[in-house]
Amino acid sequence: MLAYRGSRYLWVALAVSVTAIAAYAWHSPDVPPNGGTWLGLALGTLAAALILWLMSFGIRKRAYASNAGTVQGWLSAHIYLGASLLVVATLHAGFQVGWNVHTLAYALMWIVVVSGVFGVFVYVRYPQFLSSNRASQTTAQLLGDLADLDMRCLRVAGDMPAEFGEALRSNRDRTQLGGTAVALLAGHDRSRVVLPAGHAGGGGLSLRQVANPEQAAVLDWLGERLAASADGARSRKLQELLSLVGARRTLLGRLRRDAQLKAWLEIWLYIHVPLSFGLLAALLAHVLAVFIYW
Amino acid sequence: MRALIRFLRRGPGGAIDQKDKLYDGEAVTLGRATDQVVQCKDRRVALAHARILLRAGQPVVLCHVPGGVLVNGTLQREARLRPDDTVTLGANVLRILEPPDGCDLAFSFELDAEAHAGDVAPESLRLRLADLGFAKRRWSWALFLGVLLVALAIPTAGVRSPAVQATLRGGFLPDDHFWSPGPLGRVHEALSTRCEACHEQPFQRVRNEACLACHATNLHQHADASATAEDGTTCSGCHSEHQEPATLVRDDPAACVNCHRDLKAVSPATEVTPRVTDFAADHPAFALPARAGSGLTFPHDLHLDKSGVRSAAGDTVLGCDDCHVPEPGGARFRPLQMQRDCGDCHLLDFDPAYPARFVPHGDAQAVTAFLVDYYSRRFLESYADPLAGPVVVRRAGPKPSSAERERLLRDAREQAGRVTRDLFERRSCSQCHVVTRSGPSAGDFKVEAVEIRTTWLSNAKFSHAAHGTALTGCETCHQALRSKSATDVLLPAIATCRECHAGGDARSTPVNRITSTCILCHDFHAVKEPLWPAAAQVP
Repeated sequence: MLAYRGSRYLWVALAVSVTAIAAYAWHSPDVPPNGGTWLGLALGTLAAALILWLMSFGIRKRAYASNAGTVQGWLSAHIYLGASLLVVATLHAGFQVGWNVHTLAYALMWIVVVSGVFGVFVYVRYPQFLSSNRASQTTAQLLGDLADLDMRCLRVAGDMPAEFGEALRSNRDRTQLGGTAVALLAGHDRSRVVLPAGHAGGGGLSLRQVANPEQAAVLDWLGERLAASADGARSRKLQELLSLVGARRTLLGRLRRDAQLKAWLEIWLYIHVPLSFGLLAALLAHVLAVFIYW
Repeated sequence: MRALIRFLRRGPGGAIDQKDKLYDGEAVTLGRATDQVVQCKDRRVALAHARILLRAGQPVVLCHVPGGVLVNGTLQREARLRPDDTVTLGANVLRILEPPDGCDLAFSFELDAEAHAGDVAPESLRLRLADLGFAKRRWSWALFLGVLLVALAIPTAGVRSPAVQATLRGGFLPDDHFWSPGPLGRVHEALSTRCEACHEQPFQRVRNEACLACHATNLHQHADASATAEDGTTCSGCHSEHQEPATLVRDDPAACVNCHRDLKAVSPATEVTPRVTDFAADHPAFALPARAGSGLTFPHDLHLDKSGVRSAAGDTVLGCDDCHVPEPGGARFRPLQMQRDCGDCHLLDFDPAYPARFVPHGDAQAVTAFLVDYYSRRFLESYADPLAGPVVVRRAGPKPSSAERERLLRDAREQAGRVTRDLFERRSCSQCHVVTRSGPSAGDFKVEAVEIRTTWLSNAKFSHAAHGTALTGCETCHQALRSKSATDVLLPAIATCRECHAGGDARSTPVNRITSTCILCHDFHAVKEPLWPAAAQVP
């Protein structure tokens, strides 16, 4: 992606940028530098052509039968020439900005390119985290393991008082992985659980729903019950439950991290692509406005 | 180690199908991969999930996966195995058996019928951004159409229809002001809400006529208003709007030098011949006459003498500003007037008895007439003249007879003639003016016309106010202290200006000099010679 064919597109992009900078430095127009001088128009045409070509990457990516270069090469060129667009467009504008459609296009361009740079960053770094987190299991397998643990918990609680079964069932049902974009991206555990209110042995049937991040509420509750248990068999079962819920906690942590990494790997594209279409519209408006009010 | 593996399959009706296999090797590997000794076909099992090996003769199960294996119902990473122990991997169950002779390990391997494969992903888990409503295509369309609407469609509707334009400009929806690439120059700010004042038609450049629509009335002072762009010259070629910083007036030398480096090539009929590219390098010398016509006898050196001049109030040391007063605005000086600027010292009195009476200045005939009137009145004693000091007491006696009156008037006329001659030829007038007799009568004197030029070098603009600093006193440029005659031209040569003013290229201006472009002193739209001549000559 970055080192395709010896990073040849890095050199192409650098050449484009350096040429633009040199031309801008040499050119001394009668008016402040702007998009309307001959150099401004030339740079503007180059920038517009670049934008159109950059956006055509989506088309090339889906043209499976195409022989026009490789998609890898196109991606490498897309990244480097997209970065050089910042230089070309800024020099085209002559550093003049204001509250108008022209700067709208410019600002959209900046957001698109910066989100793309972030995308490169996550694509380079995150896959290895993803692999080491999963440790050779697929997400589906992890989820299968989770279901398995849930089942075993219920089986162990089968011949215990009903409150255990109900608590563990609510633990399974109210486990939250992801749920909102913020929770997904931040890796928050918004799981909840319904536990009996009051201490062990209390007669009350009232229940309370509590937050259960990283299974903490359930583990605490089971620990309390274990400490208060006077029955050897009950204690053994409680220890088993503790072990199972502990394993569940580890598993959920891995699933959450897996989902979090995948979300960061995807989120930038939800900004990059839609805003690039906004940029396309703004570019069209910018060019037409310039020539309507020539 | 040698292991006996018993593969069990429970059929319907409780029948058990059993197959024994012997294995010799380092360890019994368990996993989903095809190279494992015991392949566990369950999604939940890792490719290489665990292995059983001997440690000190005892079989031990080691798990490679962080999740662990279930040994006797508890999750373990590592566990020693004894007969009757159960190891569970997903739905696969291994039961450790008593190893027969010759074997270190024996276990049975079967799929647990009670266990189910497990749900993969309950629908309630929302683990992907796409599941949370993020959608690239929907947002792309929304942004594309939204931006197109706001940035293009709505303002364009205003451009096409004045009624819509008025609505847009009065409301919060974007009008064509959103298309403005930069601010207007301050003088044009009133136009910032009326783009159509200059941009008359879509896709049409700003025409000269658009500028002349407002500027034709005052432009006649600067250029011919009937000028068109037939010769390719457009107002907007030099006057560029919507720039930051605002550059309504081009001040770069190239705007002038492009033609003036060889004006004949550009305009063969021109009378302007010198080649000019830069003030410091090749600007021609100032077109000053050698002598100025004056008609006055006036020595500056006498008046500016450091020991002072005699005046009505005693000895006074005069400075330049005692006579030369700046006009409002400070560009030039007030034209001199005799009574106001010279009259403090140069008194036009004529009667020692009444020194406050002065003859009028400026009209030779009026002097004579005044003196005749004056002496006639004095001699006839017909009224008390408060200006004459003590009241002239009328001679006691009867009123003068007509003969006496005639004699008195004759005397008065003679006296007036004497005083006139005295003033013109010997005293006041001849001090400064060139006086000649124009006829035989006593009052026939002619004063040569005085010509005081107030405008020099009219093709350039110069402001004294801009130059009035402690560094540049009057004598820096005007050598008045040495001037003996009013015909001296006291304006400086170009060398004096070049002491401070350098050329037009800022990069080559020496330290403590001023970069001086053409437009610093010259106006493009010349008053005397408009660049675009009138299309028709006005008779």
